[in-house]
Amino acid sequence: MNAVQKVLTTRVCLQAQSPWRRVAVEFMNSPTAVVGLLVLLAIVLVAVLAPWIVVQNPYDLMQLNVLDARLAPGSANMDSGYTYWLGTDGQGRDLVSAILYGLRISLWVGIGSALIAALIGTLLGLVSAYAGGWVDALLMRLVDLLLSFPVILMALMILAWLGKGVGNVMLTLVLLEWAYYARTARGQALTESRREYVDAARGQGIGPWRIVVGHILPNCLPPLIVIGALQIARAITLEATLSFLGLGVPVTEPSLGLLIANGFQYMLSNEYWISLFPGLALLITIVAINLVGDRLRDVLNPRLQR
Amino acid sequence: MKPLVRSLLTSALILATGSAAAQTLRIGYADPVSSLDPQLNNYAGDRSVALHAFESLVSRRDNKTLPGLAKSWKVIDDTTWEFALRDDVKWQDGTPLTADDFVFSFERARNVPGSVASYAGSTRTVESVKAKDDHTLIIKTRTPNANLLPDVDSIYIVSRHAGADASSADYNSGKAMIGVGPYRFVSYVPGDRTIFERNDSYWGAKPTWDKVDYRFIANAANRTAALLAGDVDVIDKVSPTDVERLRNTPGVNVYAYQGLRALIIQPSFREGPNEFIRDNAGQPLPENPLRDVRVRKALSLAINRQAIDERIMQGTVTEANQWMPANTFGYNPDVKNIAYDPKQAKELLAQAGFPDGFQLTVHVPGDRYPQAPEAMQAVAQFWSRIGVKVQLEVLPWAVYAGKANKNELAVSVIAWGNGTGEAAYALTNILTTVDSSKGQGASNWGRYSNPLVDKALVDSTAEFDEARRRKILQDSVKVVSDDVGIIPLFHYQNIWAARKGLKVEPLVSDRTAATMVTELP
Repeated sequence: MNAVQKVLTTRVCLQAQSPWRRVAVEFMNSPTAVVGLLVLLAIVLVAVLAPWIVVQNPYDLMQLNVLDARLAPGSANMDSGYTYWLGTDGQGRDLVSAILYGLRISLWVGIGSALIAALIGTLLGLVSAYAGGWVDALLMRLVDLLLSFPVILMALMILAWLGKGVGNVMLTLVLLEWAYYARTARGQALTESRREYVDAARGQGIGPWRIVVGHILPNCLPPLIVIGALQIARAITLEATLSFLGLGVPVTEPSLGLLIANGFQYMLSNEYWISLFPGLALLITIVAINLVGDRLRDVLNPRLQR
Repeated sequence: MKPLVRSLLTSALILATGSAAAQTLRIGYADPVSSLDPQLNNYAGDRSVALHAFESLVSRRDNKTLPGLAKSWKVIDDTTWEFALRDDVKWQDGTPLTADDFVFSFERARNVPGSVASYAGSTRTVESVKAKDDHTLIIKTRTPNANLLPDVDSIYIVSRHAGADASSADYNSGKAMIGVGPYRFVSYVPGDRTIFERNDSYWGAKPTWDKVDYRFIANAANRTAALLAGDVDVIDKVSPTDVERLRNTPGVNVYAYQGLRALIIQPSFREGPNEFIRDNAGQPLPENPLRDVRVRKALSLAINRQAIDERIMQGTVTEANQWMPANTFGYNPDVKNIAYDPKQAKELLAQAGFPDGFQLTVHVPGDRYPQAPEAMQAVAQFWSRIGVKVQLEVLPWAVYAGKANKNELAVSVIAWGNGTGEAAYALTNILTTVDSSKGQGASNWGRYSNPLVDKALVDSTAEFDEARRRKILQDSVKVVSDDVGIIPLFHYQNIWAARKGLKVEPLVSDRTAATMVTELP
């Protein structure tokens, strides 16, 4: 059996399975990606279950005690005696609790904004591709405009106008990110709409809306999923950046970025834990998401398949 | 890595050549400078940089008025002051200083084009400034003003011959930067640094430093790092979080002095509902509970000031029970420290009709007062414990100041500088009833108003007898304290750090200048 034949048989075998099953199998072929996925699942799990596993609600001022501020990792709580395994921040917040709650905000903002942006961006991209003409021109110039601005600068401008808060941060991220999905969806849809199956559908008298959603969209999904995975990581980083700059969440409800920012001033006085541990949590989350996203890009991109 | 290596090499070089250039003083300071024009804006940074090249009629040290460019003065009647000027003072270009320059300076200070924080307040009582002869100056005031000396101390003297047609830009370019002070202007890079050299013709004691490199380093951690790296010799406004570290660093001295600046909470006295004060169901309360003295007292008693001092400010502040720190003019020693008593606070709230508390949104500027957001988060904790559920909003100064000024907030925070070192300054600006026609209550953001306090300001301004004036001011402290018109938190210390061998002594409040730094024997 020569090499060409071997490739062909593998292809045939894979095509016999459902395409998503093939993706799953290929994904699992990379140990690093599997590790990334497991870590990510673990992070999501502890973040979702945070209120039931932490010793303290770090956002409830009643449960904080400023007398416990800046305690080193392993110190005991003054009132009820539980241990601050990762120490406390400048307000006496247990860092384990604060990090888990911070992860909740990060994931919620990251995934939430990525999903909404994906929905809006994809829809506008498809409309742009299918409608063409001035609608296409208008939408794509708008996308060009958005993509040409530095992201942080745009985010600062939008947030300065909207004001702080988790909702506004999400809105800002959606406003900034839909353009990526729109550009990709449009490109993909333009290619797909010239395929025979679209002509065939049109020939059968199927309405344009159904063709777009029912026929073109499913074939545009793989690159959009890849962008989605990477955009989640980007959104989490951006939220952390904005909070670090003081434009994100309220100070009494710190996300990871704000925890890092708050600890920054203590770095020179050797109280490293306030910034370090939230930073590590952020780092691990982003790396895990990126590992998964990278692998998805490999397995979903037909051009990279051998 | 490259820039880091380079900066390390540079600092090593600077250290190595340190002895040869020992007479250059490099200062890293915190307050932004808007202009070198000493009369444009009454900002801390502008005043600090001006201290090198300019002087005023009198000088102040340790909150006392000392002779400056005026050798002596006498009060001729209630509204007329005569100043005998030094006759041996020359401008840095060699022209002799005369009374006419003072006349010009007082005229100009009232109205400098482009000013956003003018010195008009300091000249508000001044009716006319006239030269009797070349070295005698007569100042007439509209009403008797016992506080004229601290007022005129704020006005830096500029020359008529160089400054008559000069704009603020001419000061920045150096064209009009001719002063009588100990240091002479060399160059200025806005937002970065100003270079001065010794004024050899200075009338006073010979200035210590050949050259002064006065650098703006906005971020407190960066200032600390610059000192540790040997990039600068002295830094000001050391962050409380770095004090311990610097104290334990060999080769560094930390100088902390009791300051005049107080962090003060101003509850709003506005009548009717306030969107930032709500009942526990989230509905705005029909009446403002902060107007009830029992509620204000409860809020004050609920705060553990000692904990804030130790845990947040790391021992770099002193608990405040009134707006002036101890041992200043007008400080009332009979007003005692406010006890931490959450139990009594809860009782007072219950008596006022809020046994379960209410919801309160507190605003604080995030970019203005050192550690104020951190301190207010701790206050929010303490208030939550007596049932007042606090939401804390940290705003940029530009947004905050506008809202606070219009009394749109429920609780605002001010770090009042008490720059003149006596109690009437705060009376004028943050405690008397707001009345712009009288120049009163400009920063009374909570709109506190008590006729007794207003009367105390009028009486103390007209009272030339020091003992009686002190008594009037002390009585007003008691009135404000009983009213809980403001909730004082703490007084900041002014903290400098310098490389070993240098001594830093404060001159005026928290200003920083080369004249404050001397070499230890």
